[in-house]
Amino acid sequence: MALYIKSSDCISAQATFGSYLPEELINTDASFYNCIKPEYKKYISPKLLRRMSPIIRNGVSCSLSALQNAEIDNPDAIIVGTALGCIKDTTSFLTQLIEDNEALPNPTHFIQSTHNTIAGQLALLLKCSNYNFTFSQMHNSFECALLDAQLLLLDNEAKNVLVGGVDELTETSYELIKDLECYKDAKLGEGGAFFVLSSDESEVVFKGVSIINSSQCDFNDELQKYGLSIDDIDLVVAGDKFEDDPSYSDFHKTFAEKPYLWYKPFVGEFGTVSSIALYLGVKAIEDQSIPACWTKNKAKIEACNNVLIYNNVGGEQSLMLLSIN
Amino acid sequence: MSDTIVVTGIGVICSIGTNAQECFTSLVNEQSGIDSIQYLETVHKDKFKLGEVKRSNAELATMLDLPVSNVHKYSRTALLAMVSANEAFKMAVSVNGEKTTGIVSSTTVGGMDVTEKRFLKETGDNSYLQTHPCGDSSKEIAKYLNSTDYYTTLNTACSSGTNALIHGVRLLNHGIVDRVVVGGVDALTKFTLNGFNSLMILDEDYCKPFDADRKGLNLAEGGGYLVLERKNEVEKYLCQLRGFANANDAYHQTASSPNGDGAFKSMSEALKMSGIKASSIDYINVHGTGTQNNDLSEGVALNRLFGEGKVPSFSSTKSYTGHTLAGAAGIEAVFSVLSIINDVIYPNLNFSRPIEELKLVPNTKLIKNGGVKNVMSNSFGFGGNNSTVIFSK
Repeated sequence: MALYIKSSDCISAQATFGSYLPEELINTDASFYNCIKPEYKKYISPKLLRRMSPIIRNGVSCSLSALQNAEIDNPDAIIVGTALGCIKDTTSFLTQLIEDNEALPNPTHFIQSTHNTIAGQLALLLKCSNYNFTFSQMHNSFECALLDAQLLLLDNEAKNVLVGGVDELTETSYELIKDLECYKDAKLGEGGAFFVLSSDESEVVFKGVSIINSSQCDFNDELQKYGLSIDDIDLVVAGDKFEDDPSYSDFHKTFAEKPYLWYKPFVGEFGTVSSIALYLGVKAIEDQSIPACWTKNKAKIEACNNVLIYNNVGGEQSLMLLSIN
Repeated sequence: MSDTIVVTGIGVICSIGTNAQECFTSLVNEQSGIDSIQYLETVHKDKFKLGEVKRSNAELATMLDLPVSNVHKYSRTALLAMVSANEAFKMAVSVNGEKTTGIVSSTTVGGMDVTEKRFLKETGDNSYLQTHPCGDSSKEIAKYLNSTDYYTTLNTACSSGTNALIHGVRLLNHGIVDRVVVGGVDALTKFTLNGFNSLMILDEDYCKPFDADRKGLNLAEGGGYLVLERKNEVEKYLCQLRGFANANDAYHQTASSPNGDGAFKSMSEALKMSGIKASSIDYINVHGTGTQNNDLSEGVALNRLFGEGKVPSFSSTKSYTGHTLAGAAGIEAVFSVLSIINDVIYPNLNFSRPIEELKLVPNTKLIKNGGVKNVMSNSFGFGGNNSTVIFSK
C-alpha cells in the first residue's frame, strides 16, 4: 500500500508557514537560531495562547496549519516527536522548586512540563479522541513518530495521521544543552514540521523511514529495501552541521555528485530538525526546484523524482525516502 | 493484530520487590511497599509516604554487575529500567534463544533525578544533563542488553507503558524486530513529588483506591517490562496479548471527564480487538490512582461498559506499589501476567466504603484458583491519554 504526504508545514528560523522557501537566507549573530513566529492568533485563542510555552504554541499552530492545508478537521491519529519536550516549563518549575526550597511551586508549569502536552492540547482543541502518541528518543524522536504513523496506516487503522516533530530553545535551555556531546560544534536552533500522512493518493509518495543505530550504513542496501538504487536518487537532503562534517563523510562520498541540500547551518541543530529536512524534501518534489541558497554543492536540480533524506548524530542515523507520484 | 503475539518474559522492580517473584509474594501476602521516605532528599520527608525501591543506586548497579565506581554515569531511572528490562529479557532468551530485539520503553521525567540535584548548583559544566532526555534510559537498556538495532521511548505521561507495548506490537507485526522489550520506568524525584503536591492530589496517608474517602495518590518509583514475540516462533510463552487500544479523553489537560469517555473508548476498543466478550473478563487491574477524579471517572466508564452490577473483579495494585507514573503500566502488565499464570486475583488494600455514585466494590480478598483467563489492565495519563491492554491464558 502506498502512503502519501497530503500536506506539510514548517516553523523554523528561515521559513514559517509558507508555500515557498526563501531565496535568501537570514543570518544571525545570535548564539542560536530562534524560529520565525507565525501569527499564532490565527490558530489559537489569545486566552489559551498566553499560557502556552513556545513549543506548545509552535507545535499546535503548525499542526493546525498542516491540517488546514489537507482540509482535515479530525485526524485518525496524532503522533508527535520531541527530543527534549517542554523544556521551558520544566526549567521554570524546577527553578521555582529549588529557589523556594519546595514551597508550593506553580502547578501550571508542572502540568505543561510533560512531553505529551502538545499532542494533548491538539486533542483538546480538535475534540479529537483518537490515537494520541508522543515519542521522545533524542535525534530519532521524529523518525520514531513517523515510523509509528507509517505502521498505523499500513495496518489500516487510520487514513489520515497528523505526525510531526517539534522542539524549543530558550536562553536557559541553550546554556544547559550547548555543551552536550551531540551538540558540540553545532549552531543550535528550534522549530519543527508537521505533516498529514495519508493513504489517500496525492502528489508526494512517502516511501518510508529507516532507523539505523550503527557506526556505518550501507546506503545501497538500505535503498534496495525501497526498490531504489543510488542512481535513482535525484536529490539528497543531509544533516551536515558544517562544511566537512566527519559524520557525513561516507554519505558525502556516495552522493557527492547529486544535488545536495543542507539546512542545519541555516535553521540550527536540534533533536527534531530532521522534520524540517522532510519538509524540504516535500517542497522539492512539489515545486521541482529549490532556491539555490539551500544547496551545498550548487548542483542544478533537474527532474526531482526521488529524494533521500539522511541524518546522523553520533551513529544514530535515519533515512527517509520520498518519490513523486 | 495480524500475528498472535505472546508474552515470553516479565521483569519488574518497585517498592514491593526487586523482581517478579518478590513482587508476587508481596501481592499475595497483602504487603504494601508504601512507607516513610528513606531515600529521596526532600523537605517533605516527614509529610508524605512514598513507594520507594529499597535499594540505593550503588546497590542497583551491583545487581547489574556494573562497577559501582561508574554509578554516577547513570540516572536512577536508567538503573531501575536496566534491572527490570534485564529480568524480562533473560527469561525470554533462556527459553527461546537469541533474536533481533527492539527496545520500546517509556518514562515521564527521564533522568530528572540527576538533573534536579545539580540544576542551578553547577556553573559552566552542564554535562550532567547527558542523562536528562527521556531517550537516555532506553538507550542504556539497549546497550546493556546488547540490542541496539532499534530503541525508542514513549512519553504520554502515566499511560506511557501501554503505549510502548502498542508500538512494540506494530514492530513485531511488520517484521522490524523479532522480539521486543516493552514497558516503562520512572524514578522518584522532587520534581514529580512537588508537582503532584502542587496539584493537591497526594494522600499524606496510604492511598485508598476506589474508596469513598480517598484523598489522593502515593507517588512511587519502579520499572516494569514484558518481552513480546510472535507466537508461531516460540517454544514456550507465559500468556497471549489479545487486545489493546489508545484513545484520548479530549476533556482537560490533567483531569478526566465525568463520563469517562476516554477510558470507555480505550476499554471498548481493546475488547473489540481481543474478540473477547465483556462478560469473559475475569479481572481488571484498574488504573485506580486513589485520586477523587480518576477513580470516579474510571468507575463511571467501568459501569458504562460492563453494566452496573456486572463489573468483573477489579483491584488497584497502586495500593501496594504507589503510582510509579510511566512505570505503572509496565508494572501492572507484569502483575496481570502473574495473575493469569498463577490464577490469582489480588486484593485492593485500604478499601472500606464504596464511592456513592458508583456502588463499585473492588476485590478485597485474595482469590485463588478462580479460573483467571482474561485480564484487562488500564493506564491513564495527563493530556487525556487513555490506554487499555488485555492478556489471555
